[in-house]
Amino acid sequence: MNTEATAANDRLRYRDLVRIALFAALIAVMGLIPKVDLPFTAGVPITVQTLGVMLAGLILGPRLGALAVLLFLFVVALGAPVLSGGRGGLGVFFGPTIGFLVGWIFGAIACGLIRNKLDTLFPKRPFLSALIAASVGGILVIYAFGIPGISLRTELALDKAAMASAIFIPGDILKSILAAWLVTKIRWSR
Amino acid sequence: MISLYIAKTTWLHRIPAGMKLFALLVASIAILPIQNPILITIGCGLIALVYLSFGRVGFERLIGLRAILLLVFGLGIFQGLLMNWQIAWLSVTRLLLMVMIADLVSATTPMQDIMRVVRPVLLPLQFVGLNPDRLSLAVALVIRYIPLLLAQWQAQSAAWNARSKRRPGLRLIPPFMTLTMNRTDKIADAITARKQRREH
Repeated sequence: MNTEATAANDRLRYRDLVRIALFAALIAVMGLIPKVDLPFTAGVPITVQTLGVMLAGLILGPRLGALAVLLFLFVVALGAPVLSGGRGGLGVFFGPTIGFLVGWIFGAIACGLIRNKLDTLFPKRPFLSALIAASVGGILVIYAFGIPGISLRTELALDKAAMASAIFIPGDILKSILAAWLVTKIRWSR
Repeated sequence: MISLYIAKTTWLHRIPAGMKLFALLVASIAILPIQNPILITIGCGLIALVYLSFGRVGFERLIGLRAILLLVFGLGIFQGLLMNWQIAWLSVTRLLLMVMIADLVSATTPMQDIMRVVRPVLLPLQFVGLNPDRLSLAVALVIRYIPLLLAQWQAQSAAWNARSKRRPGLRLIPPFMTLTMNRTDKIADAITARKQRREH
């Protein structure tokens, strides 16, 4: 292979790597934002980080989006306190929210897959396809892992674990609307 | 700011990272089937003593766990009300015990050491395209990116505040995302250029 071809190849691979790192860092930065206490969640903190997960899947697509989430989780495991509330380190992976963290990976994949599919089916409805993708991938899929996770860690029955996490759903709906809006606003020269 | 690591060298710092991670693995498997709440509570007390043996930093670290403590106790109260308090106590203390042990490893092991231990475990993943060198680069990029993004956000909100008395609301997010995303290619070019210079 000649050097020019290698350089082009390298450039392409590093381009993806930097994009993955950017979205992992975006998720981290969202964990540092002071929590917003909205009145209707009765003082329960909502984290903005799932917005980052949705955006990673929607913008980077299923493969790179999932890699961004994985990289973020790896940095958390190494000991960076970048989960909301200054949490981080190996302790997080033994806590009750581990199911949600695993769900983030599959949530990003679902966001990317659904958006790509809907975009080819309805090219004139970018907001709507992003909204559906963000709601299914960023809410349904994440809870599908998160609720059994709580149940497994605390011996709480599935329906009760679902009840305990239901308070976060209004915030999540807001986040999926925000993610869909952002996706239509961002001008990115791919 | 960026690490949960305790900078002061304690006795637990001197134990090799691999040994600590292995102990964590063993503990996680051993603790899960224990059904005796008294045993688990004693375990929590013992681990708390390990923290306190580090002196002041250990105490502060223990206090720093309150974010996860609140979450676990919230779940415990919920569980106690719905089921019974004995099961609630058992699951709360068991969660707490595991979180405390794992956090102990993070507190006394530098990031690079964990990375070094994990590396051979990740080597087989080369066959599915995960290169350990690239992973290290990616981790470094994420850590460097965090203050960079914060600085850029602050610059943009300062620019907004200079122009307007109103609060920016969500308006600053699209330009922020557009700017950072369009910059990634330049960073990739810089990394490629460095790599080439090393090779020639």
